[in-house]
Amino acid sequence: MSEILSWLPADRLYDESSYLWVKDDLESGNLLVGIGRPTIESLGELSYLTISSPGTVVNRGESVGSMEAAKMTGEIVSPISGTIVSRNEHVLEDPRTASEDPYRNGWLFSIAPVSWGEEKSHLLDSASFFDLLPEDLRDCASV
Amino acid sequence: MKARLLIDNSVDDQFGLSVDDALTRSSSDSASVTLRLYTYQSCVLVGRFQHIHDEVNIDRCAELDVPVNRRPTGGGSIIMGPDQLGIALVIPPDSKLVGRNSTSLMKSCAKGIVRALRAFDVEAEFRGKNDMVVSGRKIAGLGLYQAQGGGILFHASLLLDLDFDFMLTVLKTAFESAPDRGLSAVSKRIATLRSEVGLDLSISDLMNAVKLGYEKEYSIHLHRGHLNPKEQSLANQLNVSQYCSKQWVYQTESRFRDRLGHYKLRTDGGTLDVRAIVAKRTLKSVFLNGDFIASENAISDLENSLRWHITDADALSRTIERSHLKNRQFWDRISATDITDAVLGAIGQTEVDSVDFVPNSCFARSGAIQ
Repeated sequence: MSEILSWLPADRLYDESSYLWVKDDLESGNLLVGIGRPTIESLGELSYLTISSPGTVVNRGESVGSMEAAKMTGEIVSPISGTIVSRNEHVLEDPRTASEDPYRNGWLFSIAPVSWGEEKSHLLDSASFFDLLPEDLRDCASV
Repeated sequence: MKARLLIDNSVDDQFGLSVDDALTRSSSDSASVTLRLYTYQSCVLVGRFQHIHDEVNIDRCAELDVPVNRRPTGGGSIIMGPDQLGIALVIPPDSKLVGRNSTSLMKSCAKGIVRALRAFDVEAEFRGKNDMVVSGRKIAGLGLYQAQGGGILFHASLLLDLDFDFMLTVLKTAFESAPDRGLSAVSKRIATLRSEVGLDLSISDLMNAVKLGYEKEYSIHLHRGHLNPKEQSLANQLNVSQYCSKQWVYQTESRFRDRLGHYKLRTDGGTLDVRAIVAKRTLKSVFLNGDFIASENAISDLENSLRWHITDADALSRTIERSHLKNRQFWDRISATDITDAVLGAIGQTEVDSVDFVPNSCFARSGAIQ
């Protein structure tokens, strides 16, 4: 269980569709969004990353940026609706940070939510999210 | 299981890309897979995050009336034309045909092509990040893109033939940076179906083989079809908004550019002449040249194992050690330590030289073979 907790910390919620995590940023009152270990295991190391500018309004399920990882390019799809407040400049300058320290210094963007109360219910806690992952990804948690 | 087959000949770059993109974005409306086989009018396509002026001789393309565009998939720059088969496999979000884990997805999507080539007695294998090789020489470049709705696009450019002169004219390949290497060095690293099988093979023969390859591999039956009105409408929209847009084609969204480092190391087995392309802390490619003696496969295996590798010295040393151990009988008096020193030297030079002008062609990427 401790392996799972370090792989998918219980202090945040997870989006089944985008595999992104969402966490309350108590300092600002906004939400931090980032990639998790399952994404890194699946896509490989991130090498290029773009995120929409602060002030951009985005709906849940819409693209908020794009990335190229070792195995795939793709859109970064926002798990929540709101306005982008800030981007993690360090990660944009050095995307590997998101792979190396995904739950602390590797967050992607901060967002001021507009429907958090409702959209929160679409997200999963770490245990439920873990159960929904493909078996080969779940196996990575104990490696 | 039924699946759709789309065939297009001689499409322009904008139409070719916008249809693939539209199919992928609208794939959530369908449960079935689409395989699109097509050829382009001569054009240059760069990878999703590449800096176009680093990759393409824009002036020569303009003189020759060769359009340049940008793919949604990653990887290096390519030329497309009548002798390069475009393969787009579009997989809906809920499809059970292939797994969703990217680790195995690329390999799984490429199996139809491997099977198709086997029909011509050509044994191809998936290698490295996104290469399909025949005896260590690249015959197809592969890419994966996941769209907003979860649909996946598998892209491949399969070489029936290749005009090397044309490629070296319009692309800024790594060989341009290595004046002692030329056309022969490029051609030694690339395989085409015609070089493997014979000149009478047509693009139509290849299309048929790829269709059958995917049918057998996935136990599906591909029916010739067309774009539905929604896909056509989205393709038209993307054509205008994205693939005709200079903002998309000439974008420089990434915060940093690739950098080239060059280092020569004299060893007991000869001189190792290494070029490294680095994107921040990612070693994108290594080109190994020199007057040492080693087998094609040993060099190819080493170069492939270092693609998209972190630049950390210990991690690099371990990877080089593994590749060298596997092929040690094919390296003549060149040790793993020699190679590690040379690669680290080249990486170190990316900081010193700060050469931001680094071509990374999809097919002309690796160094010459002894």
